[in-house]
Parts: sequence; structure tokens; C-alpha cells
Amino acid sequence: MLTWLMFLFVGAISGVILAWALDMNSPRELVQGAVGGLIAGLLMAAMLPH
Amino acid sequence: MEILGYITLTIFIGLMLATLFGYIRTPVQTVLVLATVLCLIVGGLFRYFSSGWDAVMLLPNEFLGGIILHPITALLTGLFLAGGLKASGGFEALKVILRYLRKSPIGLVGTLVILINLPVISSLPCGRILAAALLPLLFTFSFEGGMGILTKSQVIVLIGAFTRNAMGSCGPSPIGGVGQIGEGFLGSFFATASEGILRAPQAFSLILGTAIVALFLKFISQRLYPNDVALRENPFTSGTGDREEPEITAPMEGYLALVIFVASLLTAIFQPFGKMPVQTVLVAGAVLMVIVCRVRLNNLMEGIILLPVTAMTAGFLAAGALAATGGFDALGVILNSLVGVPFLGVAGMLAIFVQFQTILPLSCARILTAALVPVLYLFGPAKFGFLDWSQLAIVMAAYIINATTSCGPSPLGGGGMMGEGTMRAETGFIKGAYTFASMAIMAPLAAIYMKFLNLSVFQPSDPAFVRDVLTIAQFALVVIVANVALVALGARFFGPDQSRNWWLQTGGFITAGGLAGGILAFALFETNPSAIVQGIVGGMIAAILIGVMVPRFLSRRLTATLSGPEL
Repeated sequence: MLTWLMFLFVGAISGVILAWALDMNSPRELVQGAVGGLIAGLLMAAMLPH
Repeated sequence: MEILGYITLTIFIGLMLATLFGYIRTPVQTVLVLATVLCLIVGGLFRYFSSGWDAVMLLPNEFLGGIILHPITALLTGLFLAGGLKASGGFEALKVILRYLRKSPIGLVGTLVILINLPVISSLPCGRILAAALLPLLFTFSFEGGMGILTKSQVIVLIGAFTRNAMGSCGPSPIGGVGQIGEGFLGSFFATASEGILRAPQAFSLILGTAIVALFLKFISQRLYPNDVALRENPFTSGTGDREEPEITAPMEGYLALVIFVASLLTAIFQPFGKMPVQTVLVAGAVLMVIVCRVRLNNLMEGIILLPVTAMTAGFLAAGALAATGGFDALGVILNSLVGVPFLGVAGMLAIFVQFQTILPLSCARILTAALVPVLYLFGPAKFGFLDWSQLAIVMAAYIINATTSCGPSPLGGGGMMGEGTMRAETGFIKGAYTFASMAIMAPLAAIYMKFLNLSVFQPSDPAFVRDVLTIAQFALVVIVANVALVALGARFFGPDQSRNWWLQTGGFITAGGLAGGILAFALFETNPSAIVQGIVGGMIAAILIGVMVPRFLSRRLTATLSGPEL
């Protein structure tokens, strides 16, 4: 459970930073970036041993 | 015997440095085989004159005993399966899925974030597999690529971040990943280490490190080398495209191959049908692909990229020769002597050691990892006793992610050059961003993750191992905020003088390196103030060595190369 939580957290932060670096700075785009990061974090956590 | 170790170590490091600085212009694998032969000849002669023929006859056995076959065969079968995926149109199927995702509520930016992190999620045994398949797709987002959806700066950030993620994804791969070399050694104490004790710390830090690479490329690299990317801006629009998106279709076999590939990967990771070697699972997946998707054996064989396989084999050969001739013992003694240097100590020496492969980046991380992980192992209870088992696992996590990402910035045919080629950038453009993230973000965060969560996952019965996600989150935030501030605010001081900008960048490296070293020392020795100071000093020394290797000018180097005499 904690692994899932950490990867959702890190995915969301990473998604926001990536959106900012890609010059997609509107609140909607930052949220989309965070959601994309959450999905990436979720998928990554699913692939890990728990 | 001790003198022999110093001689063979000098041969090895000397040849590696000569290759890195361009004095030897042959593939690094060839140089490693040369180093192996030289070490064995010198070792044989030395043994003959000191102990006679009997000692010489023992040398081949000692040399071959150092070669570990498991990661090599796992890598081969992983590449074998990826070859089937490519041949059956599996990557085309992936592109179609991504296209549908773009039209979903997460939009373009959400899709790009997933796309950038796709390599670490899929964790193939070599980042080049997915990079070769998807970099052309990323290029189509640019004006020159056809779609013109993204600006030049956005394409640089997208390609650079994706390639960074790809060239670190071979570390946490369960199918022949670089991390498995370290996991094998940690298996001496952690019974289930081979199930992937190093995977989560690597993936965690790689996801954050990728984001910092994107920021570095946006704020620093594009200002430091403003004329070194030949991509053009869209002359019609800026930001939103007005062109037709090329139609992407995939055959049914591609979708089936993708399903078989994912199923094989999940079976290899989670072992739902009982314990079996990953190689067996992957070969079974490949056979299924041959039957269901009508892929030919030749297609599967074509998926095998020789570079990582030969790199790993050559690395193991060199490691075997060094082990048999006392080279690692000599390295251990040298590093042991660093421990006695004032302001360095164990923490400072380890802060330098974990950054070793970013200081000396070769075309494939496996080369030096195969040679240096045994040295790191000796720092633990097995020989020198600087670290206990949990501390060894923490250092191993930091070392492995730093090592595995080192093929990205390597100018010796490193994976990052694929990204540079796709974005039409000069060689060396991405080096600053890639080395900065490996050094400042990935190594310390992998250590923190290992200490505060992963140890307890793999040894739940030991009450000494804590689960403290709040501390991990706090450290992650501190590291991110500090480095974002360094990158974003530091770039504001950049001016027209490129040389001054480079010095500013090096200053940023040293600051971030000190922070990374301090955090690593904290992860190992907790609140011991002298260890933290030693870690900071060690981190700063490593950062200087990394920072000065980042090229100051790129265009001038190209001009010098083209004009001939300067070369």
C-alpha cells in the first residue's frame, strides 16, 4: 500500500514539473500533467514487487 | 601480489580514460578485451616468477569464475522477446493506443507525461529498444516531423526527457536489468533480494530525475548551447498545429504481441505459476509469439541488440581478470586509504564512489557495474566492514541508479546520443542535464527510499527497518525544491558570456553535489554531524569531477572537427 502511495505522489509531482518544462503552464494543463503522472506512477507501482 | 593488483588496476583505468578522452578510437568492448588480455598476461608472468607454473595454471579458473551468466542470459532473452514485439507490429499498436489517449480528458500533456515515463514502466533490459521504436514518433510532434504540434523548445524537452527515462530504465528491469548485478550480491543477506530489492528505489528516483532533466534542458541547456540544435520552429503557428496528423494503424498481430509481451513481463515479475527463471518465462513468451503472431525466429533474433550484450560480457571479462590478478583488492585498498583523508572518511569516500560511473560514463552501464559492484560488496561485512548489510543495500541503491543512468551522457556511443540525433543536437548537448539529475536527484533519493521503505518490504521481520513514507516525501520535496530553485533561478544569472554561464553551471553542480552527498551520509549514518560533513565534502568533490566534464562549447567543437587541423 505504501509503495502505491509513494509512486502516486512521485508521479504527480513529476507530471506537474514535466508539464511546466513543456511550457504547458495553464492550471488545466498542470492538472492534466499531474493526472498523467498519477497514471504513470500507478502503472509503475503495479509492476513492482510488494 | 599487491603490486600486481596496482599494475592491472592501472592498466584497466588507464585504458578506460584513454577511450573516454578519445585517445583510443575503438569500441569500448574491444578495449575491455584488450585490458583483460593485458591483465592476464601480466598476471601470468608475475605468478610464474613469484610462485611457478602451478600458480599460473590456476589463473584461468579464477578468471572464468568471476563471470556471472544470469544477467547475460536474461538480457538475451529480454531482447529476444522485444524483437518479436517489434516484428509483429507491437510498437505500432502502442502508438495507436497513445493516440487514443491524447484524445481523452488527460489531453496532450497528460499523454506526453505517460509517454516520457513509458520506458521505466515497461522496464526493458536495454533502453535502446523502446527509444529506437518511439523516438521517431516523438520527432513527428515537431514541425519538421510533420505534425508541428510542439515548439522547438518543447520537442527538445520531450525527446531529452524521454531518452533520459529510457536510458535509466534498464536498471530496474526484472529481465536482465543492470540492477540484478547488485541484487545478486545483496542476496547474501536478503533472502528475497533477487525478486527486485533495487527496483523500486531506482524507479522512484528515475521518475523524479526525469522531470528535473526536463527542467534543466528548458532553463539551462538551451541557454548554454543556444545554437546547437538544428531543429526549426514552426513558421506557421507557435504551439498548436495546423497540419494533418499522419494516420497510424497496427495489425492485429501487433495487439496480440503486445498482450503476450505484457503477460510475459508480469509473469516474470510476479511469478504466479511458481518460481522459475525469468529466462524460461521470456522464451515461453517468445515461442507463443511465434505461434500466435506468426513471427519468425529470424525476427526474434533481430531484436537482439549486440551492444549491451557484448558490453556486459566484456565488462565481466575485465572484472574477472581484475579479480584474479588482485585489481579489486588494490582498488579496495586505495578507497580504504581515502577513508583516512581528513574531511572525507567513510561517508565522503562513499559519496564519491556512488557517483563513479557518472564521472566515467561508458556506452553501457553494465561494463563498469560488473567490475565495481564486487568492490562495493567488499565494503560491507564480507571484507572491510565499513557498512552493515542494511547500509550496503542503501549504498547499492544509490550506486546502481547512478550507474545505470550513466550510458545516457556517455560520448562513447551512449544511449543519449540517440536522443541528440533525433533532436538534431550536437553531441554533448544533453550531458549536463543527464549527469546533473543522476548526481543530484537520483542517487540521494534512491538511498532515502531504500532506507525508509524498501528494506522493510524485503525484510519485514526485522524491527530495525522502518516504514516512514512521510520522511521519504519530505526528503523528495526538499531535493526537488532545492534543485528546481537551483535550475530555474540559476538560469536567470546567465548572460551572453558562454564561459561565465558554464562556470555558473559548475557552481550549481557543486552545490547540488554537496546536498546529495549530505543526504546519502544521512541515509547511512543518520544524524552523525561529522559523517554528514564528510558526505557533503565527498559529494562536492564528485560534483567537480562531473561538472568539469560537461562541455563548455559545442559549436566550436563541431567547427574544429570539420576544419580538420584542430582535430
